[in-house]
Amino acid sequence: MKKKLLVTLLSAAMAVTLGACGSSGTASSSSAASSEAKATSETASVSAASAVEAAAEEKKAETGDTPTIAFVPKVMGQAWWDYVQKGVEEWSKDTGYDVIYKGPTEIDAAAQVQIMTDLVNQGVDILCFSPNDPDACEAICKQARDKGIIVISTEASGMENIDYDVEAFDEAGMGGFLMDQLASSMGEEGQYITMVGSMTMESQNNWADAAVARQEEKYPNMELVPDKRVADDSDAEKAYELTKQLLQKYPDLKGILGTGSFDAPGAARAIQELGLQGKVFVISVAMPSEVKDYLADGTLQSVGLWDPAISAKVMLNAGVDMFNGEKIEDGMDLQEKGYEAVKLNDKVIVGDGAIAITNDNVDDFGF
Amino acid sequence: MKFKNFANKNQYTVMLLVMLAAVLVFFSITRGSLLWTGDAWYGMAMQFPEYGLMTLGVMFCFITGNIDMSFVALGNFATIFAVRYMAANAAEGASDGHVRAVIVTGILITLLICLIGGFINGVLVTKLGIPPVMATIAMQLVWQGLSTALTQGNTVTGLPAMYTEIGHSKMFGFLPFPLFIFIIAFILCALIVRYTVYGEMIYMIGTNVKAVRYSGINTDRVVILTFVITALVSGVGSLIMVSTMASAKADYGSSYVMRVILILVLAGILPDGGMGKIPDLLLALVIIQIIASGVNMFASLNTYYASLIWGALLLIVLIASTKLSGGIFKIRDDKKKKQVSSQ
Repeated sequence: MKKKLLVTLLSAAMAVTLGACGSSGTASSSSAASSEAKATSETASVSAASAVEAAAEEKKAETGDTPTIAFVPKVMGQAWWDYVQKGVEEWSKDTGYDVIYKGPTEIDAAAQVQIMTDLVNQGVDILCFSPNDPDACEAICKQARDKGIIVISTEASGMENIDYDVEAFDEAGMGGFLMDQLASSMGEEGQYITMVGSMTMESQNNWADAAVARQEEKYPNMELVPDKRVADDSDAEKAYELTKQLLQKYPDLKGILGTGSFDAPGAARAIQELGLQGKVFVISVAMPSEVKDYLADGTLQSVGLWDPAISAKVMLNAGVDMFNGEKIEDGMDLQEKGYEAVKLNDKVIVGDGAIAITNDNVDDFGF
Repeated sequence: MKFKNFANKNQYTVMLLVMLAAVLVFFSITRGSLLWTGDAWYGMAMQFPEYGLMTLGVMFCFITGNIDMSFVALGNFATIFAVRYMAANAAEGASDGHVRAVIVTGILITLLICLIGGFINGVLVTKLGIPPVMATIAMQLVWQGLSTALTQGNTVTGLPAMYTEIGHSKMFGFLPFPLFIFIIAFILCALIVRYTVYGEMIYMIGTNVKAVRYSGINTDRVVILTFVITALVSGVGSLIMVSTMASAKADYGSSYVMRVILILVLAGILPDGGMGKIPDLLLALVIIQIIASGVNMFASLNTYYASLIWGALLLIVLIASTKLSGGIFKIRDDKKKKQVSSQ
């Protein structure tokens, strides 16, 4: 009987030790991930340190001068969000404000809402997040705002229960940016066509419309071919075949302006195979890792994207500004590149944040 | 002496209690000021009922020695229909009575679809003899595929405000409504498991289905009924999830499948069947939720640590229970012996 109790107690002791192991991560994750193994061997000392850190945090929260800030990404452990996390840590270092960076371990709206619930009930002052599903977050955001928490989202411009939503660009901004890039590759003259993921994807089609509008306004020597727009079903393989067909149909085709993230990778493969580098040019929104090789061998000159880490910093800046009693206004400077004079459409803060990914910066992102 | 007796008879429960105490002590020491606030506990009470109900439902399957992997996908499929129905029929400006009727119908639609889904699971497993893991994973894919096709992967919204407010309302001024529903369901399930013939039968089936069958009981019918109960109780969890999220979607709660299985195993309710006690389930649920929320109280502690601690606790439980005289593995050995002797 005594033995059994002993076992039970032992297991409890293990649980506590284990918890301490967990807290050692507190210190290590803020430094470097690689030192984590080392940190676990220093369990005892580090866990003591983390308790001190906790006390410090509490003190700060009490004085009310320093906001408690939380940032909830769509998911943890994905290259895109790892990059954002690095940006947030950088911001923390620069501003001296701590940020709780926490997201679900799987892309699941329910799991994300649970984390937001925990953070709201901890009484953070500023809640920044990128929802997996904007509708699912409305209720918890309403609770947060009722408690006086500043709520700032990104990629969720339709949300109701937020203070502000930050977008790197508006439809005209991205469309125009892609057209400018393509036009400069094409020498501002020749035939081109637009490509989208599907004809029903609203934002992609709006970008394409905006790109055509920019061409009509700024590049009179460029000409949209009669087919005007093709769709590749968001499939790089289909984009590849489509490009080959288009080049047969329009031997003088010089440019393809895609707005889907599969357009450029697929079309670039066709151009590379046909040996048309330098004669046919493609641009679209794309993930750097998908187009790295094509940028290196010159098949692609650039693709369009936005820097999610900068968007995150802008969200944090806006949150802190609001916390300090400043008003978010049209034309204000949110202290990041592309956001020096933001547009304010109702609750949406729009930057000029489209960036060109070229062979020079393609390795900076890790995704 | 009394405690000794209790402890002797309920070693597993005692172990979970010790574990709960350890978790509470740990988070009290490290994050006491954040943990011991009304808001923190209110938040937790809001969070666990939805997957708690799913756990409660799947428990029935586990006790009979079966498993259900399809409950989240089925619940989503059912609630997508219900939300669409409610959105279409409860136009703004409709009278309260009308909206109430629409909500009740929507709930019934969900439960009806869950009933059918549970029935299909049961038939696949009993009449067609497909192993429950395979059958229910297949059904999970079917439901999720259908939901995605129906919605194009989009979120279904437009719920009447009356329904979404339910999820955030409080009973008697303090009890979160989801928790209230959970408590009622928990009591009902506990009564069913402990005091009905059905409850006795599922433990017997989980222990030795052949012996039960030879004694003249239609075990297939009981197992099918069990899959239906699982789907229904878990469906109530889905309904609450839909209310708190104010929408339905093909992949909501996809992370709950593993979490539910984890809680059940932590509670000593193994899919081998025939074992586990319903109060242990409650303890396991609370432990899991406190860890999840507790980890979120550490500013720079990655959410992955919650999974890590969950897994480690599970290991501790499994290791420790081999050492307990009334431990689950002892029962398992007995079961094996019984099976051998029955063959």
